[in-house]
Amino acid sequence: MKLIILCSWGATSSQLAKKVQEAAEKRDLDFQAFAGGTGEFKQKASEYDVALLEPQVRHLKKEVTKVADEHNIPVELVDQRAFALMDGDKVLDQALNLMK
Amino acid sequence: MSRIMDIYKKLNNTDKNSLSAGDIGEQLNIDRSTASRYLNDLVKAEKVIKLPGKPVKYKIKTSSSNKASETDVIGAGDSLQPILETGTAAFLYPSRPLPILLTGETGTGKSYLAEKLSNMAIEKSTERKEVPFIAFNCADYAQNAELLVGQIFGIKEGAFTGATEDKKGLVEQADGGILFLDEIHRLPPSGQEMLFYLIDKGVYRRLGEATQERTANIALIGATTEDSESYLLPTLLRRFSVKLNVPPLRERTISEREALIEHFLAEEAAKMNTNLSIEDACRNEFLTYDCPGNIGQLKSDIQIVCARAYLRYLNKEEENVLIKMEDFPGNSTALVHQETDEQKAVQLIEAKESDQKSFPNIYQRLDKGSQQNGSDRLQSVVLNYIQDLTQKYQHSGSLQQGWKQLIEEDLYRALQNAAKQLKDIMPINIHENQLYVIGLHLQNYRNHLKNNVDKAPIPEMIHPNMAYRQAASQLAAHLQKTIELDLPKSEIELIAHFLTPEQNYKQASEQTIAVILVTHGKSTASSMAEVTNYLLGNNVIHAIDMPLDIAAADTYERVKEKVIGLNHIKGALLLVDIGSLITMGDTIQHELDVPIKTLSSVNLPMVLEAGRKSLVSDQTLDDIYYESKKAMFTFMEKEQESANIKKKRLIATVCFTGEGAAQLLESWIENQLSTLDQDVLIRSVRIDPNTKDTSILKDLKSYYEVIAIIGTVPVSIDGIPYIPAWELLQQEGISRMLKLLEITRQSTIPNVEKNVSSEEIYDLIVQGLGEIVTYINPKTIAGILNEFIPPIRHYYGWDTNRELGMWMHLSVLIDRIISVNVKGTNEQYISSIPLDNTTAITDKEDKLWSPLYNKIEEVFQIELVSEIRKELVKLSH
Repeated sequence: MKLIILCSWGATSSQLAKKVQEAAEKRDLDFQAFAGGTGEFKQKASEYDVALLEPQVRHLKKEVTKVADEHNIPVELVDQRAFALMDGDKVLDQALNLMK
Repeated sequence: MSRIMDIYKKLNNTDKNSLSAGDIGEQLNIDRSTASRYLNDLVKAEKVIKLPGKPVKYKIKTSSSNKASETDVIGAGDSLQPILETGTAAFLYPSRPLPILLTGETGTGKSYLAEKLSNMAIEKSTERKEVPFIAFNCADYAQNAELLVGQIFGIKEGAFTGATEDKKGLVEQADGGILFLDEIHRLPPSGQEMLFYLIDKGVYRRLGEATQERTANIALIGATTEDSESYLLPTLLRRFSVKLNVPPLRERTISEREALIEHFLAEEAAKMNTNLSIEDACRNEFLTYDCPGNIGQLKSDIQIVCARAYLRYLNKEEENVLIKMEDFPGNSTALVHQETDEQKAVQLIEAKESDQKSFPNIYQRLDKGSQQNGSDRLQSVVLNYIQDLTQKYQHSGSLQQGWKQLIEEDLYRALQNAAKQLKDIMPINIHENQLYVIGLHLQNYRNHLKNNVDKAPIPEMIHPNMAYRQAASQLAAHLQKTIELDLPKSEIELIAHFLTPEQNYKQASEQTIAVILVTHGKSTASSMAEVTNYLLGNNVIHAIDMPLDIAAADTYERVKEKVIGLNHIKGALLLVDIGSLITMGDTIQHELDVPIKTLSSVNLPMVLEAGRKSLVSDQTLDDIYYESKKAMFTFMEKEQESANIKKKRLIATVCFTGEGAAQLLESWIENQLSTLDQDVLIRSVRIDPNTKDTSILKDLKSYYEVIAIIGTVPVSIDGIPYIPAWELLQQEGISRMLKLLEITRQSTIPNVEKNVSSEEIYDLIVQGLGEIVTYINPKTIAGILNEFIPPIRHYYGWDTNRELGMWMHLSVLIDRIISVNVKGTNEQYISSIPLDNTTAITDKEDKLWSPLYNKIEEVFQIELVSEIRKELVKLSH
């Protein structure tokens, strides 16, 4: 399963993606977490199964959702608290829940 | 006990100018010092003045106040003056006011007088605190003696069936002030006894209260018609030491009657906001006619003649509002043409500034459709008006306000004018709401033109009905002429579709199963029904309230009548609150042979579900019954339900193009969503004007939980409420949408917990940064941000979510810059910043950010290059 975490240009999201990846490996899951900017998401959307949006770009959610819908990818905002704490485990849970 | 009154009367009636205490004592056969004490009390109450000298003499204080005040009594001439004086004196009786009983025929103005007396007393009293005046008509509860007494004295919980809580009585509310009981003879003997006990001792008990005695200090005014005096217990009657008989209109002096007529005419003139004249003949008629309903009738008769005269004025039959003899109620037309108009003497009443803005105003109402005429209409307007006078009419919210925000002034005006001017020549009628919808559409069209947005041309959609196409062309021509708005042919064709009446909206679905809600309480059922009907946009729930004073048998009859009244139903679902009502349904089923099912312990989700399901065609009574029952349990077992796969929530916006109004609405709704509703998707959908095909919406419905359809094209889909766009721009429309959002939220509790508050950001970020940063100290950067972010957040209007994200972004950015400095990969990094040429920093923003930048550059010894600054500004918007 492939997750993409989106922020403005991949700075914070790459940190968070790393955390999520670590959490997934601990659980022995077949899971890959990627990071990226909202700008490049358009071209790459089809590569992912699920997308999470960081709070600083929440105003772009509409745009992102439109793209994601074309590829049937569920989108949600990253849980605020999990994001603030860079809690990879919780974000992983959120992504897995979204895929159900 | 009314010695003070005797003294007052004596002073009033003496042929000498003044009397001393000794004179009074002698004449009334009382002790001089007693007389002196009473006299001083009267002086204190400003009813009597002292004349210095030896012996001191006393004289009635003449009411010299010329100022118009609340206490001025209209038409208080010779016949009323003694009543007013005695009344006020009784009120100001030292230590405790004397109870007053007003008697007189109906309509003589007893209530009015009671209120005026109270105002006078309050004004003259030396105490400057708030004095309550409570008025109550005992006839309101005459059917239920127990409740009537309870209303006055209060009820203790459990006093009788249905008394579920302690209730304050009017006596308690009037404590320290005045209690006016109209039609006091309606009080049952027990209540009268309680009342004289209160007059005597100043104590009373709430209904059902055995032990606690309460005290109240009230001034009591009772009113009754003369012939009803015999219904009062002699003991109570005696307690009213002051009895005042209000004379009927026929016994009032001619000048008093004149003053009353003058006053009522002036009142009407103020409402019309124009001058008003009355023919002398008509005025004389008012002065002399037999008016058995007294002042009350006089007033309403005057209102009727004014309304008639105003209607003529509106219809341009006359240049001024002139009340003619023929307007006089019940006047035979034979009298009318005896004089010519010119010869008739008229009197002018000038319009005063109106101080009754919220009062129903018939003249505005007549204004609205003055091109129509006919005595039927006049009659109905007048009747409605008089009905409203008693019910108090409230203006609905300001619809236009909302539209002005979205539609440019000139366009808005032009459309309004168009509707007015074209009304007579157009082949169809345009409803105001349709105009707003067209306005919304054209505004969007204009915006597109202004911004040079390339728009795929809309296909020409020819409306099948020629009349609508013609009306659309007329409207377009008007707009071209007035605001030079050139519309292409396709747009004009589209307008024709907008003009089609909203036929499939409102009661789109014929209910075959009625849902009847019956609960205890004055308005429990009707308010639940109101919410549901409002949310579903249909009158699907029939409410029957059971106030405490209505017997169970009456309720049964009302439910039965309701079922009989609903034709064409295949069954009824009764939703009731408590068990005792359950058997009612079975009995009615037997009696009427209509299938009825009953659900008890009703709650709002049940009512909503029942309402929704009853709108879906082909639902049987059993289906609705089970679905509603389920709704009750899902409400209680939310946990279990959320374990099921839940569809995502969606709001669909609709218009004829799918990109005009629908998109405008889409972004508008987006902005209205609270953080708790961020999961809600909004989709704009095009509805083909010809086919009105709703299959897209039906598809959406199978994938999503469609909360509402909002837009400019009325569509009806089973079970989904439609909110017309124009309604959304009124406060109540928004609240309806928000309410729908609220009730469809899966669960609010975890969401609330999830939300981070602004105060928490610092602690959370320090902890979170500890997980990811390499070079900076989380506390240092968090401290800086805590100090410098607030004005920036304020400028861009970030919510907590955005702010939290920006803290993290800035912190990680700084950590990364230090990292690339160390590794020497600066250029590569800067070039990876996604920027487009459109981003520019305004001077204002430059000033806003620079304190933060300076601090960061100083503390971390890094340079924030312009690319980075631009990127931050871009992200902030």
